[in-house]
Amino acid sequence: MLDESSKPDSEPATGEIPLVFAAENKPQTRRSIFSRSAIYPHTVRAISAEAASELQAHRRNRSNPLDATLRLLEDFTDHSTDQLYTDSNLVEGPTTAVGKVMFKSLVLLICVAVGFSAVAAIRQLQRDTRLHVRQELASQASRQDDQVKKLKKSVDGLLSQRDQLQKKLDAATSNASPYQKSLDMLALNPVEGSGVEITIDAGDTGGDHQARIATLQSAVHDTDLQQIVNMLWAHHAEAIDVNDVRIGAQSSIRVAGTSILVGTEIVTAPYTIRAIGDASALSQAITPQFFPQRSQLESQGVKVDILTRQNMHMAASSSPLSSSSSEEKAEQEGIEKYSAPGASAH
Amino acid sequence: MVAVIGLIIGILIGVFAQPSIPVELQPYLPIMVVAAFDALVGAARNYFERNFSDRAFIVSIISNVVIAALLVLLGNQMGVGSQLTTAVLVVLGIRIFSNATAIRRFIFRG
Repeated sequence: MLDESSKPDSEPATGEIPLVFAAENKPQTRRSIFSRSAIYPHTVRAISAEAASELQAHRRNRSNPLDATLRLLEDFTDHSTDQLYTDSNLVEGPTTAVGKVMFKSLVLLICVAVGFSAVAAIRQLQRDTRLHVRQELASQASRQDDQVKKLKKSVDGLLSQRDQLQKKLDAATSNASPYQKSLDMLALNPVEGSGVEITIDAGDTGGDHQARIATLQSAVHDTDLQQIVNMLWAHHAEAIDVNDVRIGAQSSIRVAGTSILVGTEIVTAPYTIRAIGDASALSQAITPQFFPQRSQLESQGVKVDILTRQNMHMAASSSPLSSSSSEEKAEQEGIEKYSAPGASAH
Repeated sequence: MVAVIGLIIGILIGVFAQPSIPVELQPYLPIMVVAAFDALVGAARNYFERNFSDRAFIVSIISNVVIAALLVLLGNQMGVGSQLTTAVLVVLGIRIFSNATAIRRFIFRG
């Protein structure tokens, strides 16, 4: 329904809404959608009289009718159709039959496409699109699992092969059977190699042998020898002897009366302790850090000297378990056996 | 009437043809369909208001669909795809309801 107005496209008075033009006042030119008259609410629009009055009252009650935000919301809710439809009233449509058919056909095609797309969209949403993905992932997981099993089997095989090779290596590189190891522990094997020789002797006594022995016997105790031997073991000595008496892991150094016994052998002063091993490491055994008694011995006139030897021979311990005789032992050493007064013969 | 017939034909073709949509188009299809429906409902309202124009309808539906798809694409590129999609759907939904209300008024008031 159209209402007549006498003022087309003019600024309205506040609160007034000029309505749609009558046919005789219809504008001759097309109006842009962005034109001022299109933006204002009082533009060319087909509305009923009562709707117009309602709209007018609503505008009067608003505090700021030109507020941009309110206008935006109003446009959004009130102008929910395309303004092109209103503008199309100002323009003549196609007059030829071909033009009309063409546009109708286009509308038909578009609506067919819309219907088709709507059904396709609904089908796609209803379809379980994840099913294919899940199946693909499941097959991938299965393949990877098989691969893992194969690799695990291969790793197990390599591990067992490694263990076998390790056993062979241990057997080949081990220089002692359990029997041999026992013999080493009991010092029942002869040993040869470089090492150190520690000499505990009296200082300058003016050539008096008795004074020399008396000084040594009073100053040097079994604990001193024990300390030196223990430190040599701690510094990785392979074999030790005291006055040519071989010391094993079970050997004891103890005092009996005025004599010092190594195992059951009596050793007498001066004392010579030999150790086969790393000379630089063994030298540390009599440093003040590991042998604090050295300073006390030196204050009592006892000298503790250490020498490095390149080639030392130590015979096997003379023990009921050993099959070697004393002659064989002397032959193995190849040196004149030391014999101090009071030393026991082997 | 032509639009309604076209819509029905399209639906029937979709039901029987069982189409598969390209993967690239799948995220945008729902919003494009809603935008097309907004244009359709707007066209129906203008039909009842004796304002319907074929050319306006064609321009309206194409522009609605393209702009809605572009908005979603832009949102996805910026990382706000779901929020922008929601905003577009809210706007289109309100427009559809407004037009449906007007159509209902025309139908039942005569």
